[in-house]
Amino acid sequence: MVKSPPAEKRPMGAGFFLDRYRQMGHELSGDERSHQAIRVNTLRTSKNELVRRLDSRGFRLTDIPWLRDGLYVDGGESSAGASFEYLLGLYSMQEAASQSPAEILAPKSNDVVLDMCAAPGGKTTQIAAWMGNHGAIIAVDIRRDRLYALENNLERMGVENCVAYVGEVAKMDYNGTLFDGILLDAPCSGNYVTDRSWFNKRSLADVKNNAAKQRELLGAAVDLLKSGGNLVYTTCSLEPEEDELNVQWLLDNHVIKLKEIEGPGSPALTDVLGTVLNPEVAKCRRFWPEETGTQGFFVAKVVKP
Amino acid sequence: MKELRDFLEAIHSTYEPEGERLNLNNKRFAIRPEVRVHIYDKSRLVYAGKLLGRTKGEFIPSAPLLRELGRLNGPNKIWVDDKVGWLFVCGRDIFEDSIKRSEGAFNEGSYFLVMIEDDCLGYGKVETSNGRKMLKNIIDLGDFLRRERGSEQDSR
Repeated sequence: MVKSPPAEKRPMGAGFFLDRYRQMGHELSGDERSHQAIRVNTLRTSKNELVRRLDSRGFRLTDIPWLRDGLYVDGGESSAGASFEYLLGLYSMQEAASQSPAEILAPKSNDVVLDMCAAPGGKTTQIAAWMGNHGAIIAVDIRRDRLYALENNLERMGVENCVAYVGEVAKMDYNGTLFDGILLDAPCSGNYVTDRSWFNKRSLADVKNNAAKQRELLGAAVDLLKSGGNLVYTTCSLEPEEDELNVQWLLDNHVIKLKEIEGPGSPALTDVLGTVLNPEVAKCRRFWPEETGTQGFFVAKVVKP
Repeated sequence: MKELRDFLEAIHSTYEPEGERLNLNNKRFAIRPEVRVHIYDKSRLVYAGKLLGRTKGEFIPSAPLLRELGRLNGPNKIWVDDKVGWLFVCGRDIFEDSIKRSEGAFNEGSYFLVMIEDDCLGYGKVETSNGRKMLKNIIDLGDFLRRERGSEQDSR
């Protein structure tokens, strides 16, 4: 006889999670979907030039007003992921919310940046574009199988300022390097907008397990950050254990400050299902799918004094 | 990097990549000093700087190398239209009568870059099949899509 998993590890279903979101002030249907988006690779072309080229292939492109290099895309004579321009590395397929962390990090051209959970490399190539292929990016991921996609992206997009490693990012020896900027796009529970079977897979135990791993990574990130350096912490989870509660943990356990994030979405929650958090947490940003037309997303910007 | 030199000679190019050369398994890179200093542990390294190409028996140029060679005067090149170019990135060969123009003598055994306007899509070798001269596809940018599909299957 097959043993069923303990109740806390069983998928909780749509009702449970939608009810949680309702308690956080958001009526969601569970059917929200994000608009297809691309990111212009400014290492290879300009937004105007790319729009001209894709327009001639029947794609309809619209600026994403809160992103420097993002465009919504509709139509086209082929899939947006299979055009000459895609193969030539003039753009990448990148969901709108997931373009925001690198923009919020806003690395400078000669920075040394650590991308902590880098594969498949969409944000790594975006960071390289912000840096104009100058400075250096150290990209690390624990999964070799996912790093093949990162290698492909680095090659296709023409990135020349990156070294990529396979390994446990918190345990690697960086030869004493402290970083000007760190992106921690943490492995998370994900969200239902990009995964139609999400509600039938996830439990609160998954969420708490991921949150614990994220705290380990957050602690390591702060240790690796230069004084005055910026850390951007992001998840594509709507679950507060992985978002606001982790930021509260960071405030309680490390000497850091939060920077206010402006732009789309809502200020992060400071009352999470009855738990009152430090008001500073509201400086972080939450992307609720019904408000932003994106997947669920969370971003925090941390500075080390 | 003899294999790189041989490839460049075959397409009649004298290109010299900037930066220190680095061999990593079958991959060949050029890396600038400010990036090179961040190689802490070569045993865990999977990518560094600019990828020049891979060696799989022969040298297979990377997309960045093809891009740079496409910008230079000197290498053998043929230009094709979008339709022929798309068939090429799907892995097909190019018959001589589909070529709009060329730079370099289109002789059997020669190697040519394949261009649409200013963009290089890959390269191939001139061969003859059933009495018709054609450019046999060696590598094309469609390889990215084939690799993406391959890695999706690998990760399932």
